[in-house]
Amino acid sequence: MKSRGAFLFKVLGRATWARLADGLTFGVALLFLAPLVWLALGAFKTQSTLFTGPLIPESWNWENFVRAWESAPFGRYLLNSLLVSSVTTLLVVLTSAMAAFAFSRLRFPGQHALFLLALGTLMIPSDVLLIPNFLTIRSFGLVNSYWALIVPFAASAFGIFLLRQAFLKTPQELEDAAHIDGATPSQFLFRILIPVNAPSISALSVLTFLSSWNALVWPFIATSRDEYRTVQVGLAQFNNLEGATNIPEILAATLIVVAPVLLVYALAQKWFIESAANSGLKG
Amino acid sequence: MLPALLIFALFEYYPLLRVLYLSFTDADLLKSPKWVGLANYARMLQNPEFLNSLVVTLGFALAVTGLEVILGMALGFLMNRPGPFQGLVRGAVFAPVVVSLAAAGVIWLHLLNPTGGPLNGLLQFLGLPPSRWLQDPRTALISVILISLWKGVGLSAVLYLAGLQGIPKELHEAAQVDGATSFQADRWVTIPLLAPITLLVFFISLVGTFQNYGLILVLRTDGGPVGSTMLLGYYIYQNAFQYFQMGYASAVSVFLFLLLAFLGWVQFKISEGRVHYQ
Repeated sequence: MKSRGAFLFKVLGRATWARLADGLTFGVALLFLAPLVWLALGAFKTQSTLFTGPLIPESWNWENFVRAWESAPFGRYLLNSLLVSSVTTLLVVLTSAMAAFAFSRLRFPGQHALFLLALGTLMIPSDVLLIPNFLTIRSFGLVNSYWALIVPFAASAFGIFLLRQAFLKTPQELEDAAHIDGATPSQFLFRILIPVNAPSISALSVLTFLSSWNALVWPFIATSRDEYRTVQVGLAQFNNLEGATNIPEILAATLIVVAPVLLVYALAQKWFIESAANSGLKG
Repeated sequence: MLPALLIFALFEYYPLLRVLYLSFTDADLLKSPKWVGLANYARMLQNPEFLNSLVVTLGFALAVTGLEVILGMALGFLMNRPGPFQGLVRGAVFAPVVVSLAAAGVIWLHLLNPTGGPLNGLLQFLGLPPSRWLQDPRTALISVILISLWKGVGLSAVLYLAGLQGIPKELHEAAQVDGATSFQADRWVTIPLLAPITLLVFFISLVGTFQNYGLILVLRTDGGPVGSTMLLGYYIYQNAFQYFQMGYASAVSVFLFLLLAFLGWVQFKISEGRVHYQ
């Protein structure tokens, strides 16, 4: 291994190796982007040219989007998803910040046990909870409601853990100063602790919003009417109903669903990646 | 603190107890559940469909996890290497992670179209015979593994990238000063130092693969052909929400919970002793 690596290195030279590695890097990038590029171009083609025509469409069929938009209420789906994801994110940040505050800045009996209880939820896979949670919302009469899509996800053990770590690192002097200035604990939390920890709050927000926006199985089960369906369920349903009769129309619908996320991702790519890396390392 | 704990109690701990209770009953969605003891578990362990689903799930989980570790590490190295395409490759590899499972499923369902789809076009271009992909019991699970990798390996890669960035350059340089080639320094210095990341990626991937059954909802295989894509999660979904056998599906859920709890315990045991931080 030693001699072969060294030998190849000498024969080809450093510059050639670097160029080969650049080529490989570019190829790998293409490989991962290809399905998305195919989606974006296919959404403008016709059924007859999708598989046989050139990669770049000869004519750009915008009507695929119009027809997809008209055959299923995608506007409503998008609004539902936007509402559900925004409210879920807001609630997760709020409940996580309050719990993290209690677990990092207060002292009370049973604190450690309750913290472990909160973290313990990380060990419970969501698929195991599918049936009983469905029965719970059904008994509350909440099947087909925004409540069903939001409330079960309004608290996050990961969020509590992430913010507690951040709050523990915030200097005690800030709290002392706020106390001297007459701030109540809740004023300290909302006016000082949350703003100074904006990076952690925003990482939690983006990850929560993304996982809520992309959620599929629970919304699939908890809704059966278009008024409450999220965009992911709407897309899955549209794909299943349309079959293979007009694939470009389905691709247009898919593009409508992924474009907002990919646009935001393209603008804030570095930040997305860092948030995900940190969450993995800390969670 | 209270709101969070209230939600955990109502939607995490209470349902955990309730699914355990339901697994001992003949619950469906209509009549009130009747106690049946261990009947659901007995039926489950004798049911060839369940045993097939278990084998499919374990094979799927091990394949995806193993490949996410190996490819994730390779991609991590590639993304860490300075060059003109470094930004591009980082953005590209992670992009499918932000794409939803539903969208990924739809895109790949049509990419893998057996009559004239682009993937078969590629096979033809390479001089290989076309495949029926998701419609052939021999290749259906491989297709789902391929889709899961495209969608998920970016997260492993990014975790490895973060790990690589956390290793001081001096260690690699010191090994080279001592006469190691760059490859040897990677093999004997860098990769061992990545052990904690490897453990993390392994278990994040492993637990994640058990949730990937959402793909099956979109890929229209309905767990087939002949059960070849019947992941346990989908098996639970099918029994509970298509056949309304809530009691039986609850028993399978409890089994899945115990399986994942066991894997979590193994992870804890390994990380306790064996992995060294720098």
